[in-house]
Amino acid sequence: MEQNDQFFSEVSRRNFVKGAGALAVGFGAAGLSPLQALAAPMLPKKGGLLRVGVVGDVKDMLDAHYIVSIPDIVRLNVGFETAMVYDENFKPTYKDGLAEEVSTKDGINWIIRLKKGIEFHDGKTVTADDLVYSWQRMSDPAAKHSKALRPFLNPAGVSKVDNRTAKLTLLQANADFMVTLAGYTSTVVPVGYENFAKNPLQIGTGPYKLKSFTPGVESTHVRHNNYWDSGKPYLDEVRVLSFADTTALTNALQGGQIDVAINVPIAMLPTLKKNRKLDIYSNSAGKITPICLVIDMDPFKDARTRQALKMLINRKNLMKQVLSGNGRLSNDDYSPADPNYNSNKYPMQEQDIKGALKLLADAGFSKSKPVVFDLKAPDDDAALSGLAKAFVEQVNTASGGVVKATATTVATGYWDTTYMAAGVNAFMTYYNPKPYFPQFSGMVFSYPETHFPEPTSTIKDLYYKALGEVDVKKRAAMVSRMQKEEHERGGYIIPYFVNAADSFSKKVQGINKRNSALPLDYYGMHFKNIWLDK
Amino acid sequence: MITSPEVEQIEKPSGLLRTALRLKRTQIGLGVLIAMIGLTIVGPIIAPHSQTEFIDMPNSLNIPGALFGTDYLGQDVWSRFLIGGRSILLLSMSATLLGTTVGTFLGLLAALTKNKTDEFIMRIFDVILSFPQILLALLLVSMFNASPILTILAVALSTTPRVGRIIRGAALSVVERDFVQAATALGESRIRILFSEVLPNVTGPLLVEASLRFTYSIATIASLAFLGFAPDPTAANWGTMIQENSAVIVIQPWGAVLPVIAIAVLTIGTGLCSDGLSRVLAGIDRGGKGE
Amino acid sequence: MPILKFIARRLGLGLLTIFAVSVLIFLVTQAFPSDPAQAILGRETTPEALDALRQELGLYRPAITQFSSWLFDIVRGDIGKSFVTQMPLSEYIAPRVGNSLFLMVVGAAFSIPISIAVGAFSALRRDKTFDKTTSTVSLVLAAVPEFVMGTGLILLLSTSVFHVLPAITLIDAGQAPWSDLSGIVLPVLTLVLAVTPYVSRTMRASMIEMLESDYVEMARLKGMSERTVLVRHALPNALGPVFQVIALNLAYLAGGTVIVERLFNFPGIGSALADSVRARDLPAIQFLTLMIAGVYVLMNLLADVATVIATPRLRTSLK
Repeated sequence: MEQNDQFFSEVSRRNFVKGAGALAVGFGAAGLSPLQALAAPMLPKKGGLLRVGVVGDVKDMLDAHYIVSIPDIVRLNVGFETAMVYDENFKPTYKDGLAEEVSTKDGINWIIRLKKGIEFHDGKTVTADDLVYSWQRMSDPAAKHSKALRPFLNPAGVSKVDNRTAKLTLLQANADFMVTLAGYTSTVVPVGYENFAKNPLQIGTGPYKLKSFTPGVESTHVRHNNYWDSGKPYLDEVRVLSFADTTALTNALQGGQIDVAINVPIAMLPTLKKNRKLDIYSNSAGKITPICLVIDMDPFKDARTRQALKMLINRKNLMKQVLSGNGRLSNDDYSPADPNYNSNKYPMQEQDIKGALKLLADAGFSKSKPVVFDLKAPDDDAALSGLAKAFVEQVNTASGGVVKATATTVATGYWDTTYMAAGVNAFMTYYNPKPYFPQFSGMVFSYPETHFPEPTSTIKDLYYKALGEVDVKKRAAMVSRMQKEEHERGGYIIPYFVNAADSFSKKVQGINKRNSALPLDYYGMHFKNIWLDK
Repeated sequence: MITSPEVEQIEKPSGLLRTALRLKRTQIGLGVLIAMIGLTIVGPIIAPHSQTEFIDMPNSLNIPGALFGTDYLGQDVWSRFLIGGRSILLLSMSATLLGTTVGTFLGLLAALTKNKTDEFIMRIFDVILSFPQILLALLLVSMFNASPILTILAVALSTTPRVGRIIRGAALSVVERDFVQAATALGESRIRILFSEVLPNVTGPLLVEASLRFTYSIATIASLAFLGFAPDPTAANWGTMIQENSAVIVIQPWGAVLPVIAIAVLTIGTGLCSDGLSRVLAGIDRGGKGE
Repeated sequence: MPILKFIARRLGLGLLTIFAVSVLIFLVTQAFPSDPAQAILGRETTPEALDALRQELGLYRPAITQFSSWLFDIVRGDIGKSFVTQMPLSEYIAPRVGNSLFLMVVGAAFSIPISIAVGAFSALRRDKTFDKTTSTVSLVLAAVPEFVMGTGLILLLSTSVFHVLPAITLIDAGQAPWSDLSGIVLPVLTLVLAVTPYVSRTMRASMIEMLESDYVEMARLKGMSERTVLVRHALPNALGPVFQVIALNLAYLAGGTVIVERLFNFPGIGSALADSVRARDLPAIQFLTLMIAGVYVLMNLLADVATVIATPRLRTSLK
């Protein structure tokens, strides 16, 4: 709807990237107006300790290829790097990645060549052997993290070409494999790497190496002196601190006990904006918090029930209520930065109570036989529990008693006991912004939350076919068909895209305020761009 | 492990209440308590909005029709405040009633048997008393989720031995008295003796203990809600409200301030009542948090 | 020596109680409606892997065997591994014990002298203004739950009225608990305000009892100065029962701080328990509750022994 398709076309995107690049070169550090920058060109200062706060608990873990919660993403990013990195339009680039070149002729054989002179934290130079080990570990069918990769790669398909080059032979063509290469969990680790629980010595190529890590408390990372990107990093030390909840997190930021707060609650933005010592990074790349309706369980087995719920809600009011308006509307679709976003040009679903009630009546529901379900959410994130509560209130009120839903916030072990658990038919989830294909694969293969697609569907074949298709137009046509099925039969209700926000002290410099797949533009690109102005 | 306070003077409950009501603190406490109970009865009726209705932009002040603005989810703070005391009060009353009843029965039984049964009951009490009250409640509620029944049971369970000990202590001296001995000699049944002879003579300490336990039950149940274990997390509840709205205290303080005041006033009210009663009972000043 | 016999008996009883406590904890957590193996491996696992892990964790053994091996390991000093992090629990808990201990000691260092002084002074000025004021104030403080008091203090001192103190404590791993002194003020203040009323009221009561006792009366009649009577006779005898309350409140400070530590993000035992409950980390929940209950029992035991030793009347009755 309010998506400007022209803006995301190939040509304009390239121009935009160039423009953004020029801006970055011209003014250096983010957070400065052009005038300020011209008056006093600021050179990065070296040294110092950066304290980063994030909501976390004893479940915090560290694995170069796998994450569970937000602190895990931060820690993974401090120490480990990927072959390629997304730009603000989710286009994989070489700039901050370890690869010098990635190429394919047929979409099946992918050649990855490493940049020269990249060293691990222990001084060993990164070679093709490490690349081979990394991809074998990632595609290990026994590992939790390989689910989305399994249809494309198994360890036997990974081989060494020369000292700096490795080859991945896919099980089926994937013209879009660069997108996988640029996913932040596709990191390069040394031969023999194990996760923190098995080996506390965490060796990667990132700008900071792990010194200590206590789950639920903190981790300390010290400067990697032989880091490949010359002159960087600037800081001596990065410390990632866990907080019990967002209240404690924002209190610490305002009290100056931390320099950066990752993922601050939307409700706090007005306060934080008023604080002259603080700056805000807002990411509108398309974070989503879907309401998951399990499509092969009652009362959602009938697609009309799903559609009716999508029509009963007032998306604008939900966004106002939960996000104070800090987002933009979604039509249950996702990946707004993808060139194929909303390819069917569906108009935004307005609240349509009459239409919804008719669908519900057709599906056999009435006031005496209402749609009953309990929507479950974790209690530590108001963006999730708040949406669950507001959603339930809306559908109950709007349906005038034909829907009788409740919302339960689960205080303990939500992601273990409730999320995707057997017998649970409605629950909340969230995703950081991603391009269309990885997001689809995440929702259908890695985390089959709604049990979509239906058994008779051919959408999975269509997905594999689309990935193998080199012709952009033909591929777009296939994506349209996929999106049509998701729109008409899907189990996700996605009322809006969340503008994710992070806040940091104004003495923190070097953060590129562009949209990004991860907070703070990949945490200041693994914190290597960040420096402290004392 | 705590030696029971010796109750020297035993009064009829009506006399105890009447004397206690002459104390200013009891008057104030009872007044406050009645006012708070009134609030939880009338509050939900006079609340201008429902507890989950979306009023306006979250965390806003100066909204027409919303006296204290909106909370973190755009709901009416004033309405949620008016509604949010009922469940705390109902749950803590039920828990206190249940815990006190069971505790009294077991305490009397222990005092009367004075043998292996007594020893057994007291050792069970010791085990439960080895947990701070909030710890036992948290352990139970976190294992099985916070339904109203479980919350009542968990709090009642930790209340029982605390009441039981006091009642046993008070009953021991009664049991030694002539009229009980006489009744025993006459071959009256134990249960009959318990309820007709001993119970009427320990109502004083019972009343004091029950009012004290009520204060702690309110505190425990509100604390559980604050930790995220309210029976219905969507519903308005003073403990939940403090947790939900404390992140935005700087821009919209009322969502946390109103329930903070409400819980404080309520517990101070019950605290004053039990203090008045205990002063009259024996002039005993009590010690020991949660004991 | 009757006193040694008494201590031995008390000790035996304490151990028995702790054993019963461990049974209770095990029973409650055993009824836990989830499969630990599933919790560790997550949903994306194979039945074979689940089976292997259940085997490894000994979940197929009878409950009584599981219980005895759990307890035996703890007695040997092996408190096991966390289900969620797969790391030894001792690494997670050990630094937090020091932090909580520090919080407890600082809290006690303020609350004990204040409450003894206030209690004794109120007894001397019985029913005068000072006594009435402190009794009302402590009544109010004693009634209000800690999280309400703590939130009130945050509103008053750090966010809304004055902005003088940080609302949370930040102690980095490997750092001494005193590395953030300004951050520790509010949690300590909350604890002191919560605990002091009880100790001071007990102190007041026992002091009054002493002042009215025969031998203080005797001392007065012998013509000793009021000061000597107080310091040499009344005060030491009034302290006896107070030991009990002090010990109990130390136990409270160590264990019941779940709320206060959670409120101020203080990395101690209480917040570790709150975190473990949130993450459903069974071994951590079991050990932490057992530990807190153990401290509680131990403090009670010390209180009993100290009371007997400090009170001549009770000491003689042991014979």
